[in-house]
Amino acid sequence: MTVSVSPPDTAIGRSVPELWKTRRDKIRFQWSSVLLLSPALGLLVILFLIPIGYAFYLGFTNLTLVGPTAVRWGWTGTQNLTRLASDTTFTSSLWVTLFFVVGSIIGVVAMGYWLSSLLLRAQAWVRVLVGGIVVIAWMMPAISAGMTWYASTTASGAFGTLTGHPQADFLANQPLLIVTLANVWSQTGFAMLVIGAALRNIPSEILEAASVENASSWQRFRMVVLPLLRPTFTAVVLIVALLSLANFSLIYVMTQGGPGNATDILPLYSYQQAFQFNNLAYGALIGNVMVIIASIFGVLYVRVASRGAS
Amino acid sequence: MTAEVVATLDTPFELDRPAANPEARRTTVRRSVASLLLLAFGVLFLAPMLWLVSASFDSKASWSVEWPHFTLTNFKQALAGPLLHALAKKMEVGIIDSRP
Repeated sequence: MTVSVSPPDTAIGRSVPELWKTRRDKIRFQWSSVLLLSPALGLLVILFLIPIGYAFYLGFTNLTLVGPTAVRWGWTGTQNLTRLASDTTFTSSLWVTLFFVVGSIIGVVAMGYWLSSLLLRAQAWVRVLVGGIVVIAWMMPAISAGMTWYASTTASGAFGTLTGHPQADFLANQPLLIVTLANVWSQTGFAMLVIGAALRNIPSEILEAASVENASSWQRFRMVVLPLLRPTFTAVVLIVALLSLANFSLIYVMTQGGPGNATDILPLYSYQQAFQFNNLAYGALIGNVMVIIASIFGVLYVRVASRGAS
Repeated sequence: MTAEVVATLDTPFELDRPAANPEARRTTVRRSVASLLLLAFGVLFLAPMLWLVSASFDSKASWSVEWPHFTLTNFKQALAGPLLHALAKKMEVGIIDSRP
């Protein structure tokens, strides 16, 4: 005896297999939504796509701030690109930027994790005092942070006086290191707050279970805390990378890219080419390189953030 | 019977005293070590701000960190200047604006 299984009819009169043709595990698209989204799309195009597209166009012209090409300027094709490829200052600026950004990431994440895990264990008044100091350092505008670090690391500054060498000029001897430290100092508060909030959300039962199974403190960090904090760490790393890459004002106040080109990160070099050497087009091209690097980090951040949401 | 009752009454107090309980003593030591480390970091984070404070009270302020020639002129100027006036005006507008 054969039993034929017929699909049951639904309320609207269509059989189930017909409804199955509509995929429900994918985002469906309706053309009418374009009309409703068009105001936001218009804003994006006017405020975002057109300026960036114009900046990319400017990078391939011979526009200058003064002189004949300030008025009669035009498309020069790959001329700026070949100049960029043979520009040793640009290459050194890339390395300086890499050191600054990677150093800041390592410093900020390490200090943020260390401080927040110590804060969880410390006495209440120490927690309020030290947490407050670190957060004030974070809230300070980049200009003020740059001025305080300039005053503290030059000759007869706070660090020299406190270590007993008042005439030591740390900023002149190790400019890139000092500038990176200043950036770490001014961003650690952010990492401390975010990582601290994530640490407090780890259920203590899990850590207790690990202790019961005789895990060392390193094993507890490696096997329990790190996997649970991975999304937080990733977000902090990407945000700090973007903030450091664009931290023009701190370095401009402290060293203006000098001495020589020792602290000349990409935004500073772009500014110098555009407004000090008057090569607006070349400065725009360096800015475009920065936009490309930053958008790689940006895309990574959006992907990580949306993975956490789903 | 009475001995048992005394024991159950005594145990919580014994546990509270750090010296009697190795677990509690370890926690106290850990808290103190964490606090001391944090205070050291706090000093490091505070050091760059020394100049910001000392120079604001200094009548002969320079880029170097030194004991200030004490004055309140800078604060008086900031409080009397257009900056605070603008802030006051702004708050006034904000308060009038936010009336229901």
